[in-house]
Amino acid sequence: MTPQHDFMIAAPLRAGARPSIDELLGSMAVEPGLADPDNPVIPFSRFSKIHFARVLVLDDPTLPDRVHFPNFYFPSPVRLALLVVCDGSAEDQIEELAELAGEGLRRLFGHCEGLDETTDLRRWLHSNRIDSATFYMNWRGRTVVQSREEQVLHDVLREELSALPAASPRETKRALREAVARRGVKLTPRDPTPPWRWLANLVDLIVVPIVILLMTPLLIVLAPILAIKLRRLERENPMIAPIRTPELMERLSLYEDRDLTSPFGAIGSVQPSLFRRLQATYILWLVDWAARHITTRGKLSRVRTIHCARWIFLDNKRRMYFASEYDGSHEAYMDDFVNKVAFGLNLTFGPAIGIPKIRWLLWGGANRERDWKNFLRRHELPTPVWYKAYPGLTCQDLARNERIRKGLESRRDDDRSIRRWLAEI
Amino acid sequence: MPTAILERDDIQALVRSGFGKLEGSRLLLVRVRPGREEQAREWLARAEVLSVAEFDDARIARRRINRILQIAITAPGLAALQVPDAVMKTFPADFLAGIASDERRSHRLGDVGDNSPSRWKYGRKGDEPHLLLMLYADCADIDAFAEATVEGLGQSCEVLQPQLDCGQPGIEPFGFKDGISQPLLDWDGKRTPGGTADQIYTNYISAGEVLLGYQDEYHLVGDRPLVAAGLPGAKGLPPSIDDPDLRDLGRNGSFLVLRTLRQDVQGFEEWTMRMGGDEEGALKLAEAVIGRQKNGLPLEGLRRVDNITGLADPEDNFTYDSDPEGHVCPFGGHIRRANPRTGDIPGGGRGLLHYLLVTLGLWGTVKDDVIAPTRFHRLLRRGRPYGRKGGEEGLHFIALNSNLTRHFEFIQNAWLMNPNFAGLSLEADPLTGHRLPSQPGFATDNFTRPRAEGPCTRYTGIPRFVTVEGGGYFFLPGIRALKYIARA
Repeated sequence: MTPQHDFMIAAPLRAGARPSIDELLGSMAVEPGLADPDNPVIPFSRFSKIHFARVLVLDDPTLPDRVHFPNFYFPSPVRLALLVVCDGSAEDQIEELAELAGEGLRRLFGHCEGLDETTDLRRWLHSNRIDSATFYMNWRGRTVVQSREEQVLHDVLREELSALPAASPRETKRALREAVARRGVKLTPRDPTPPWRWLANLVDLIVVPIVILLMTPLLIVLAPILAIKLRRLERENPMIAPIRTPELMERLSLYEDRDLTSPFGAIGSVQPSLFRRLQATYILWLVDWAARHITTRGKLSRVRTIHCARWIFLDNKRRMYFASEYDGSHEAYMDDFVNKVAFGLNLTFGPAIGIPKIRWLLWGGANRERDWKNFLRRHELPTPVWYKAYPGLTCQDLARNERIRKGLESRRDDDRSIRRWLAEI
Repeated sequence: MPTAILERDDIQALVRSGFGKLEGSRLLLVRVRPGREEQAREWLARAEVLSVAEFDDARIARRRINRILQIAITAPGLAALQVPDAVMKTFPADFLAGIASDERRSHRLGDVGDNSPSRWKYGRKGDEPHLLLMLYADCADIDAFAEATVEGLGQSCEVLQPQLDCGQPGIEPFGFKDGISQPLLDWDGKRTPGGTADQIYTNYISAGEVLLGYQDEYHLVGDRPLVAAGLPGAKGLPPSIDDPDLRDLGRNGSFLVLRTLRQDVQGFEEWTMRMGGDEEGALKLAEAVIGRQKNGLPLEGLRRVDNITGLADPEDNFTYDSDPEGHVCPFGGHIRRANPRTGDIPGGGRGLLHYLLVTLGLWGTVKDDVIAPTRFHRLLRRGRPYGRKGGEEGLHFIALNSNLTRHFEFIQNAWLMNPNFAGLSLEADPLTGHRLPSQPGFATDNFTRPRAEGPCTRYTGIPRFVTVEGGGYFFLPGIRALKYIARA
């Protein structure tokens, strides 16, 4: 199995670089937000391992919210960021990027401090890499190549099936198998998991619960103090969720629904308190572990429409950028958020300044539908350049295509399972 | 926050009824003439708008009401009537922007190609009507009622022509019984949403899902227009139930969506006949497209469910739980899309442990949770058909809801126009879809009928049967709010 990874390369913009970078980002897109796969800066079509990528300026419109806390200041530069989700390791992907798009990356990040013609690009990219605290991927192990091949398979099967005369399920399946072979549909076998990685996964799987077990007595002893502290912080955090204006909604929606999948991104500051930073670190560490080992098969809690999501700390964990790619409209995404995973949002976004009132880590917050939507839209950053390796395909499509492939390769030939398989085509 | 018994004397009667007993109906789209704002407000102050209380009282006393007037106003209409800017800003963004605000909204709503607002007969951006006057009377009287109303408006307003004439509700032009499934509103303030009863489909919804200023299905009062208590005229408005410093301009009001949907009856009949082969096949195909039998009964084979709360029509007692493969009603069938009858937990709840496992995503099948829970996305429908057999026919679709984005736009976008609804691909609503690709290379003009015997029957290249010819987002104010707007 090929693992997926994510990374972000981000660096502060040079003073006065904003107009020029906005223009460059605009030139990379075919429509607002949708990257041209062949754009000369980063020609994404040349990369066969990149699932998603986005380039944007992390310019936080909610920095003034910090005035709600006395003497709360920290440097929070405006950064230019490239985010990538890829098959295989981040290091390899950065290498490939430097190799195939080195010139473009220089042009892009030349708008940032610290990169000029004399800089070693590879070293600069690696040293400006910011890793996410939590990375969720809808289906661990499903590669870009697999996703694309299985869609071709589905198209071929659908076409062939519609042309076949009525026959018994078994005969139909045999005819379809022959057609797939005849038309030379390529289905690359999955990469085997090398033993060392298998072992590493196992260790990773058990180490975290052991650490939790070891930490639990300490947490229980400290619980009364932590509870008092938590409730005080929750009460002190003011809700900042004014009604959305038509102008804001029009500006944000300009970058949405260009594909059946859209990018989402939101930025905000963490409530000033060491406790809050530790809380966020601990919780995101746990969620990241769950995303690696538990929620690896098509759903995050009950949500089936998220391709990937990452929670990224900035400025020594004083700020956070959240990025995701979701299927369907923004309102449908919010429906999922509020009706299915409000508890998870409260856990992971709880320390954010201005969040609708949360009680005891889990309650309130995202359950307050209208306040939550008003709050989140305020923190949203549009994504001017966004790339998806399999346009038009949703998580549902990818999962169905994989089931169809499995069915094709399966030796089960009872009529019932073949009928089920045929119905999916 | 306490739930509240609805203030029936402050709510327009349309929230209660579609006035089906009055066979005639006329929709007047009206624009306030510049410089005549005061006159228009005077007319508004005098207008006799029927309230739910008056409607109910007449019904109990078996007294017939011969003429009914209801009034709704667009955002440009409120501005034209000189509602102060500070108040305008408190309206939700979707209402202020309007149904035809920008290309992105049109894309989401499926108003593209021949459905584009640029081709509409009314409601284009920048050219919106100000008021919607909904008139109801007997067929013999509706012309006279409309004339009297226009006369009453005098020089204050311009009435857009042609006026929208409607027939009696009940059967829509394709021949199907319409308007059957309506949610039951919690008129008595008894409902506590979100309990275990809601883990299965419920037809009973909180008042705040339709009416502004009341608690909705989230136990909250949604965004609505508010007026600072000190402003002129604010005293006449009800207090806001979640902020004592504000008066609630929204309370007892609702947002109204109007869409004129022209139906190609001949095209629909020809296509179903061509694909169905014979009369019987054509009828079955038409019923699959709609998702109901022509006479309004559920499709044969859907198991009846006895414990749906708040059922308005006893014949409406079904869900799709007994049809998980779509063999009886295709997933894409119009009414399965528009009201998928899902509860909070797929297949219903089975105790706390099950609930926790489902919530954490550790339990369930691949089909679970591909459709959102239904109770957050319902509409009260008050539309009426128009036109005559052989001529131009269609439906003036009217829906009431408290949140245009979460109710109307969600249903239209995530359920009807979504080519990926319920895990389908490349097909939007077979009845109302626009048939254009959702993006280059991705068609939406297909329709799939799963069959127990094996491969699905797929219809490709379906023609368009419904064209949007106009529309608007309106505020249907409460009676006191109407007086506030009229400055009476």
